[in-house]
Amino acid sequence: MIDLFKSEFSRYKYAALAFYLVQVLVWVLVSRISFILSPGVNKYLIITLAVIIPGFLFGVLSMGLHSRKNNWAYLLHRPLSKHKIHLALTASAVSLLFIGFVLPLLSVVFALDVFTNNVVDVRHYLFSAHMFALVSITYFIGCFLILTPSKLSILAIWIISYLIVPNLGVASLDLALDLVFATMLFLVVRGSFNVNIAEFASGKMTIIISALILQPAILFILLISQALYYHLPLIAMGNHPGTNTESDFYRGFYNAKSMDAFAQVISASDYADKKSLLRQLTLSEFDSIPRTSFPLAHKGQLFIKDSSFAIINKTDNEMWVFSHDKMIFEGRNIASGIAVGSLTAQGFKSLDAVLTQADLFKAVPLSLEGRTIIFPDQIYRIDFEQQLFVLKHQLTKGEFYQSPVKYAFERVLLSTNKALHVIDQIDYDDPDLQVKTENVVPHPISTNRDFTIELTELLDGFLILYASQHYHGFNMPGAAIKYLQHDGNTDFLGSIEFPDSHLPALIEHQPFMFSPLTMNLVNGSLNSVAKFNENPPAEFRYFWQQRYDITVVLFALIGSLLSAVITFLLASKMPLSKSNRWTWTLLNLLLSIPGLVSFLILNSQSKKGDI
Amino acid sequence: MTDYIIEAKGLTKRYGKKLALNNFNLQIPFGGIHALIGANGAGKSTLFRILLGFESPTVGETAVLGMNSEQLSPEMRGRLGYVNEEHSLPTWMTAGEVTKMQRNLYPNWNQKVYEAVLGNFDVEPTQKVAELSRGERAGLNLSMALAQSPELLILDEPTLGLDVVAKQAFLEALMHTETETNTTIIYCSHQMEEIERVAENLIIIENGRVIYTASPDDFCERISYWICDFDEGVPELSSIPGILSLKKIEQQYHLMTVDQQAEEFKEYLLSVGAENPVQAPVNLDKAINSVLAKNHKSPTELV
Repeated sequence: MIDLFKSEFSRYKYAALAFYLVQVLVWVLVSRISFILSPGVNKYLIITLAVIIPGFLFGVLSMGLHSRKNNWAYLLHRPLSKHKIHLALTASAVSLLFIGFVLPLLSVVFALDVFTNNVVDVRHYLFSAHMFALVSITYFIGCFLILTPSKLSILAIWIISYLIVPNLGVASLDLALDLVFATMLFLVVRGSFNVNIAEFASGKMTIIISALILQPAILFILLISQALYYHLPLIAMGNHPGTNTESDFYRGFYNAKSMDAFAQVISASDYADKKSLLRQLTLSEFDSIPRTSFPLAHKGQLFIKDSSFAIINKTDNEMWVFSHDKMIFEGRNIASGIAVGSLTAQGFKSLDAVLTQADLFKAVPLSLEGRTIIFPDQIYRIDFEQQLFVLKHQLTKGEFYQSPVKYAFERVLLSTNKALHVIDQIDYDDPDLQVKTENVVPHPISTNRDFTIELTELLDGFLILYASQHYHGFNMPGAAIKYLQHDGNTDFLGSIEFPDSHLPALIEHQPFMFSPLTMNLVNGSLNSVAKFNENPPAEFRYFWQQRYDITVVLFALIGSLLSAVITFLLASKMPLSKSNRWTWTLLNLLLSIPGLVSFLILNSQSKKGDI
Repeated sequence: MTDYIIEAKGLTKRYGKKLALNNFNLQIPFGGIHALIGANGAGKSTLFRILLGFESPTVGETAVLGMNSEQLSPEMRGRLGYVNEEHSLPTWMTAGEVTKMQRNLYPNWNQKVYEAVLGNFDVEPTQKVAELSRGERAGLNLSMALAQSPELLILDEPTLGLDVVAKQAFLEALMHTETETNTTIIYCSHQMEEIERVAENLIIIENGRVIYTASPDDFCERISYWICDFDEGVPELSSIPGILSLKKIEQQYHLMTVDQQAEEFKEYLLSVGAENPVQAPVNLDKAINSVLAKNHKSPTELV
């Protein structure tokens, strides 16, 4: 096995070395004109593409060369088990990919850490581990493509789109997800690595993993095919329900003018003075809280996932970068690279100052906006000229900011996980003053239901409109208005609901109908909780907790049963063992229609070749 | 299934509409060099791939060294040598490195055989495989395959593309080893002079079926070659007993037949108006060509 490893390694070692040298050169050049330790979608995409494309291509190329008939015979016909052969190939491939495409960045990060004053945390090194996982995963996908009978197994590539989407959790979560997918793919490639290359794997674990890794992409394709038979024809006829502006539907309400939306909720309320409010609306201006909410920043998250990483002091040409390892900002001169001091929770500190526990920030900043630094429960204002670091706003325990600072109606609006804080703008802009919230308006629903907030100012106060697809529960859209009067009193004017959807249930709930399990895999707990670190309401989390029309549920059940029956019948005509026939049948009872499609894809050769 | 080194029972292999092997049955005893002969597409390579487990039969089963081909263990593979026509070897390695790798892999490695066989070729251990000529590569491949001391060695057109000198060296090495190591060799080639020289047993396959198995001499004895004139017209081809081919060359008719007694066939020829019928000697090349040509049209007639 070692000999085979060495043989494979020596085959590509010079190519790996060449890639290493070229990439190091590129990174050194880039680091001279840009901050490679900074986040940013473009930079991140370039770094990621620089590993995932070579990983995939190398998988296709190396396994493709081996898979040629005579080469395959040479490789497999030896007194060595196929698992050992596969392990030798994999070990050599990932070693080469590491040298060629991960080590360059790692080397540059190491050099920046050792030879410069750049802030380099453990998380910067962990990013290389993430890249290593990505390059290995794409290599496995390339191999999987070659080793499975159908080239539609390329659909497994969705995994990359899943893993490269910025994850806002801690690095360990990223790496754990990487490890899960890398392990699954390693096992599935190992299971597909058969002496008879045309034969699909017969191991049950390989069957299950192969089917699972194709599900989301198949479901996605099934869903977008909806456009062909429903949306496009209706759009062409000018009859599409999406163009329906009737306010009976949430869609119409959502797309309506702000004034009309406010008026609709007020009209439906029992508020005594609603006529006056409606009259004032016609002369009012409207504004909204940004829908983009702060991601939760975590100590030790991969550096490319930082929402922001540094404050620039243009006057002195300084950059102040937050160190996750030290939990302070470290400043250095951009031109000379010389360290200039640190910025702590207690203010600016010189280089020789001894820092205490009180100097350390308790959390990672959520956002660095100009001279404003937003932590989860504190907002600071920084003044480099005066060397001032002022705490502007502080939340109570358990409350944290969710969206950027919003200036509107001569107020500053801060949306948190619990309430809307309304602050006097003049006070907020006073550089030396810690402000207190003028009014706190608790949200009428939990913020994890993804709602919008719109405001308008009337004579005696503000009307605040809350709207959500899930206002009254799962898929029960609605809206409500609160009236914040200038004297501080808050009235709940009332809420409305939209029992009917603009789309037929069988179109709207297709993800559930096609495959409740896969839908949940994509949209449910795994994605929302694990991947994006969100916390959807418990009653929305799993498909069995979500409420659907009985018709939709019936269709989902029929889909599952039909998929299982069709699978069984087709499998009976294929050269599958009895136990594998039942494995597929039970699997597709769970996975439903996308499962059936994956069965057809993965067994396409069996149907065609062996009669 | 232990009396034979190779056994195939009712083997059928279908690729879509194409039938590569059609109810193929074969039993090869231990020992000797067995030549597998057939036209392109006859199913020889498919048979080898099925024998080594690289493909599954549509119907039927095969066994090598008594073990089902689809369940060959790594240990069993160590007892089977296989050399394909491309002589697939890691071209990026040197001959010495490749040899070292193979030596570590095969516990019964016979360095003496390796050196003896490789001695027929001009291969230096420091030479990269990619730099070797096709003949040298074939020699290196054969020497390694033989040094593994396999009980069965399958050679799939190993001399394809080799020049005369390389081919000569290859065959000498092969015959030397067969006598030295008692390895059973299955040799597939289109070169009849090679077959004639090395094979002890012929297995002729056509359209996915075995149509003939015999020693080269026995096979040649069954084929007759006649030259005569037909002044009053040639008889209906289908009425000529055992006819394989009939050609008119320079006003004379050349007939190849199978399983015909000389005297009886001569009388038949005279009875249908042939003049001066003469039986000519037949060599293996001619005999096999006539059989394959005949069976190309109706392969089942001779079975």
